Amino acid sequence: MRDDELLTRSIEAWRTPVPVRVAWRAALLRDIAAAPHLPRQTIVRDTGVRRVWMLRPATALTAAALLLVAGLALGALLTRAPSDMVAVPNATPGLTTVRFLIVAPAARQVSLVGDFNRWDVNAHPMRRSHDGQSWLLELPLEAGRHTYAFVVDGDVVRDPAAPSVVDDDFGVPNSIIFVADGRT
Amino acid sequence: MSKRFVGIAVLLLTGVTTKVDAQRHELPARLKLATREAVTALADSLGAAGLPARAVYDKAAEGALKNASDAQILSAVRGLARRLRDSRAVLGADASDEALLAASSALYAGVPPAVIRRAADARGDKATAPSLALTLTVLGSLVSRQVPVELAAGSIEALLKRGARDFDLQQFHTSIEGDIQGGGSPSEATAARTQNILNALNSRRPPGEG
Repeated sequence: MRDDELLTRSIEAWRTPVPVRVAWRAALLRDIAAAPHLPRQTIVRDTGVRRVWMLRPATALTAAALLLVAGLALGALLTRAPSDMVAVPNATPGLTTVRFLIVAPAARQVSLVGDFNRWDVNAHPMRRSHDGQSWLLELPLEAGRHTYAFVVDGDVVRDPAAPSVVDDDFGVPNSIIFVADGRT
Repeated sequence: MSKRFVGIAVLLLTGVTTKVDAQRHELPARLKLATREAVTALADSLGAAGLPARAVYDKAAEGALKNASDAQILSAVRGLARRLRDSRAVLGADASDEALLAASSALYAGVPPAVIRRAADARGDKATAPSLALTLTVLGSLVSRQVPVELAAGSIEALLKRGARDFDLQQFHTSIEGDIQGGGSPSEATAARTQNILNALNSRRPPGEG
């Protein structure tokens, strides 16, 4: 007998109900029908006090996690709109890549900071040019007015090649750039 | 049953407050709690008035980066908020956030509100005119570089009336800045560059047009 034929016969044998006497079967069904009905998801604590839970603990935890996620999503919806409105007030959709450059051959580390990265010194590190004289970064920016500066080895310096911004509240001026909005 | 609703409400509230707190924490961590609360309250009041609240957070972050004290940062953000409100009063409710920020810079430089209004009017509603934000930024920048207010405003108005565009105004601005950095007199540089740009604009005009 081939293996597959043997397998087929075995499956058929497993699927065939075991013959049971009719009287035994009727008695079994009577016992089942007479058994007291218990809630399907009943947990009896060790204290012996019976407590019926509406949900299994695992189901409850899953529901709680889903509600937390829903809450986060709702929070995002509630707080995102004003933030976006402020970030891109009337800018034309789309970004323009701007190339920033500063000559600083002796610098060990240079980064770009500005209102586009919340003045975060770690957000946009610049890379040294091949000749080692300058530091470069190409950054996509939204159209409009941006103030920025460079941080050269920890010191904030303005871009010597660009106009400086007027409101210099902290003694170190910033530079300003207008990114074209696609108009002629 | 009511306990279940309370639980659901607590979970939802947890999610919402987590997100709101995350936004609050955009302020630099090194600021004192009182400073953070003051800045946040100021930003909230600006936002409620339809003014760019983000500018206040940016100013605080800039101050922190530049090692300013909490007092300096508070003073700067309060000044900015005041100027933004003044700018709104000058430019009206339709002004963009960028225009308001530029007007705020011009006010900081000492440009009187009436001159800001005049520059905005000179720009007009032409589609090809430079943006109001650029116009006011150049005006404020020139005044901060010791160009007399009337000379700066008059030059910009002349350029706008002659059909200057974004590029022209930016070229005007950067060339004056270069002249001043090279040791030139701010007034002389402004007068000379104004004439240069006007000449260039005239040469661009079609023959027969005044």
